[in-house]
Amino acid sequence: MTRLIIGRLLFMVPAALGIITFLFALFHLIPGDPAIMLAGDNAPRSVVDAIREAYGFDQPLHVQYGRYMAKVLQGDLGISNYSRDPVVNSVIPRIINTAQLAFLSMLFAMIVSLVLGCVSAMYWNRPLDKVVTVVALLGICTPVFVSGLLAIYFFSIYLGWLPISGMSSWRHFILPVITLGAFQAAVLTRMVRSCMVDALGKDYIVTARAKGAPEFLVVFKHALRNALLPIVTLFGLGLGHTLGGSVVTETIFNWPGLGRLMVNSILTRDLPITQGAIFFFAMIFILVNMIVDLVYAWVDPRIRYD
Amino acid sequence: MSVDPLIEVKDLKVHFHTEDGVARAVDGVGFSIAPERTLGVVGESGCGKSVTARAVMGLIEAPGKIEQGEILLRHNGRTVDIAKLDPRGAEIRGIRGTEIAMIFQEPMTSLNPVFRIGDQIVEAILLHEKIGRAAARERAVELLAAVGIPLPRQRFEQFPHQLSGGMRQRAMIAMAMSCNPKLLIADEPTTALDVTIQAQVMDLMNALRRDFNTAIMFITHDLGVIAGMADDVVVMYLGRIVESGPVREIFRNPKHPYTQGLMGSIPSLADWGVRRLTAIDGVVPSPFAVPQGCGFAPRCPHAMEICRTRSPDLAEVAPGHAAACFLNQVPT
Repeated sequence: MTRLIIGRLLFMVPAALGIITFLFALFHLIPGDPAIMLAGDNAPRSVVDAIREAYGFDQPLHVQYGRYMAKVLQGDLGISNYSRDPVVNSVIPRIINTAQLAFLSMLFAMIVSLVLGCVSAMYWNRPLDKVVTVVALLGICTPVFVSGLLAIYFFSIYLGWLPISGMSSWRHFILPVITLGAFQAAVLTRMVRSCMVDALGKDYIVTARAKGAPEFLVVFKHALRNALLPIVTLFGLGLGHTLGGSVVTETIFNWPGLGRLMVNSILTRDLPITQGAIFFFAMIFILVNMIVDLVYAWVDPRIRYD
Repeated sequence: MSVDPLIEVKDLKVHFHTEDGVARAVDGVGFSIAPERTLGVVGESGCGKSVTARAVMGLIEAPGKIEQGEILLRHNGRTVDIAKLDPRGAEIRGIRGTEIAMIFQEPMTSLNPVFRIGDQIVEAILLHEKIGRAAARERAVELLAAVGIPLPRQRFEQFPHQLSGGMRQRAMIAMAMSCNPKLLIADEPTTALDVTIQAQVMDLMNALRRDFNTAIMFITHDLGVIAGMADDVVVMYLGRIVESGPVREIFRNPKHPYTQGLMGSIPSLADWGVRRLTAIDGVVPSPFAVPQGCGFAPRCPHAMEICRTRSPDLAEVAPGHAAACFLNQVPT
């Protein structure tokens, strides 16, 4: 197990280097002279040249690459073109905001999907299962901007129970968490259901029943543990996506998160911010995948002992 | 056999209600097993032997349903009808594992892959007995040793995928024997194993039967295995019993053409080069479309007019030996 953890952690190093290289390439692949981009289209030639020299854009590519790599490895992702603040300072608080939303949403999705999916599988092909399946399908088909706006209209405007936007109190969390979580819950419920139906049909379930195990042990111990593997995969992907910033949810609820930051930086051509946001998004994704791999090993001894 | 039977199955019918129609998997089966005896149940795939076994365990789940019949078990000094118990209720759970335990055909898939072998046995013990986890562990290790698993303490900590097929079947047997059941149902326990391992597992089961005083219901399609294990035999075809009796009697003097056909398809060293193996013509009809009259009539070399219209009942042909065939009966 320790070897597995160390192996996965070591894998993060080349992955991170790959991402940094990609970000460097991105900067040079997008059309236009970076110095002109920074200075503005109508800036005088002398200003553009000064910027080019100051930023080192006049150096050969490998020198720029080396410098960029060194800076990133020291935690310096550059300075925002607009606010002139270090990128790290703008990105980190956004990540924390997004992480709160993402973790709570996925927690909500996990609880709802495990309960609904297991119940659905236990009552497979009976009315309760069909109701759950239809509700899950509706959840998947409803775009977040529709469910989010409906939720705002109903709970905030019509009933007046919950705030519309912002994140200053726990009550502000409820609508975005449920809006984002409900979509993930719908996707996961279908997965949990089909994996549980599959697991409940296996021979070892008959063995467990033949031992005299009560039904809740059969379902939640013997079947669920076996059904978890694909569920964990999908859960990890969902967590990665929500952590990367759910642009639509964040926009609807005016949530100061990573997704909105990334979209704004693209619209304002604030490339260092875009790079920083992508860097953190990618690192989070790798980290989540690593955790998923470790959970796999915990769930399935066949992976642990290979 | 003057001893009271341990379990008595009377006129059991188990049907499966599917979208394609009703499959009469078990259609009027009756037998009994006395304490410490071994009953062999023989038949081709789909003849209803596994469904019968599951019915005895109370493990018939939708779309299957016990339509009719009784499964009487002596339990705590009284007689319980398993056919009437809720398959998920507390009473049948108290019977499973303690009174009746079961092992299955596929040792590869019948152990849960994500739990340690030992923990699966400990679970079986703790479900029925009020003892501490440490005591249950000790008992599990003893059981692993008793079924002939070397280094039982190491094996206890291992997962099913780390054991060979034969070892897994031994572990399954250890789990089944963990609460000293009075009846062990073995559903083709040797079918998936190599021949040498088959012999070892059969020896083990015979030894356990003596040591634990357990009755065994041994399901197989292999007549050789029956000859080595069983005291009594029932031969099943298409959800019904076509012949039953003591094992010697069945082997020496098979009365039903189906049993005769099965015997004729066993290779024998004594007949080497003298006799050709015979095959039973045709295939087993679908349980969705059971032919009228005797189920075996379409494949039977001796079928008569009456066989296609009426279904023969089991009738005694010799003491303790019964066959369901008009050839042995005077039609009325």
